[in-house]
Amino acid sequence: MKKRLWRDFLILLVLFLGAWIFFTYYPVVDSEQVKITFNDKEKEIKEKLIELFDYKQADSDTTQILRALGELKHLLSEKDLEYELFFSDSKEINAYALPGNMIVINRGIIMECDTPEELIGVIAHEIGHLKMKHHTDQLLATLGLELLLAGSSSTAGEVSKILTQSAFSREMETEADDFAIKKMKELNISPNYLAKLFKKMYKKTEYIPEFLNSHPGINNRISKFSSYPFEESSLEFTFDWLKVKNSL
Amino acid sequence: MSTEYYQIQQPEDLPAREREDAMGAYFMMFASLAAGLPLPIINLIAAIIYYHVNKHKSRFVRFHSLQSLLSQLPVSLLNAGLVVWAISFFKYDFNFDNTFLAYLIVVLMANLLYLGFSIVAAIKARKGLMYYFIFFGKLSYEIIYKIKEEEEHIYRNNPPI
Repeated sequence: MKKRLWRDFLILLVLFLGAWIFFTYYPVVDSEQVKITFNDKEKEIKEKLIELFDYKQADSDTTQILRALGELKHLLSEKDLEYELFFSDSKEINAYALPGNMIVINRGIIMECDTPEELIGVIAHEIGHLKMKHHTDQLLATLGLELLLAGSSSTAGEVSKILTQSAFSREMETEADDFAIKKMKELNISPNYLAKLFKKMYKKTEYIPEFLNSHPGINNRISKFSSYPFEESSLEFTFDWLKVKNSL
Repeated sequence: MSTEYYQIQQPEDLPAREREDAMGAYFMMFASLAAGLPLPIINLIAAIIYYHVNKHKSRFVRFHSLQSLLSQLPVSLLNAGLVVWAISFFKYDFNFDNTFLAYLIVVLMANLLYLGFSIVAAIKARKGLMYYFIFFGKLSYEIIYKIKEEEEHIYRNNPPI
């Protein structure tokens, strides 16, 4: 009986491995074709989001703010990450990262920034989320595996709601903060600029702004960024930040 | 030395209740659908519980419960492998290739085969018949029907030495 058991086991193993190897070399569907379909789907979701929230892409020469954001984007370019920066005409003090490597900056948070360096810190923080693919973890945690299995474009509305309204975990925020510090140091900008922005936001509003709400203990965060000595940045921009803000 | 086995019950010796219990073992595969979750592990947990609940019933019921449980193990492992592999695409690079697609097809086929054989086995069990899957049928038979030596041994309680 033992021999027959081993024989059966080997038959199953050979069948499994044989079928796997066979379909690898004689594919029913070509993986390249699937990749194209997936990329199209991602593009479709991205377009729906832009349409739904009326995001304006940085880099276009139409308004002062988009030109300024375009300049900041080039300054913060990453070798291994192609991302797109968008402006949203929302007064909510918020900025967020979305799948498809999108970063959205609200008018509300721009108005809070006294200098472009503060906004650079905010963008760097969001790049950190993108680089570490936090939105994937967040989506998986929120929607579970259903998204992986169903993933229909009709759920774009629901997905975008979760992405823009729900929070990243404390651990993710800390990772993104660390990335922002690293990036700001690379550009010779003191991370203290972000501490200044957070303090302003915290003092000004009675409620905790959305951008800070999900983040690890606000006081901890402010003290983390404050621990870096403040030094005036020597970066020069082609735009006048005050004029850009007044144009909004 | 020849191995001794318990006698296999014949359909006419099996009461309707036992046939239904044996059939039920294969319907555990629908447990995850009932739970409304696409997680393959739910099936396996349900099968393990079912096997333990029926542990003290007739060998016919135990055989079918064990065969259902054992045959589910590789399918569940393959499914879990697929889920982990798919998640890694989202977490890391989307390095989608033909090896993955082939695995997907093989896993799909394994699930379909498992589903088909389970339905046949459930119908046979309801009729009071034995039905042996390749490998898992023989293994279950060996575990359930083989007369183990220790079962024949009578233990005696003794005072401390």
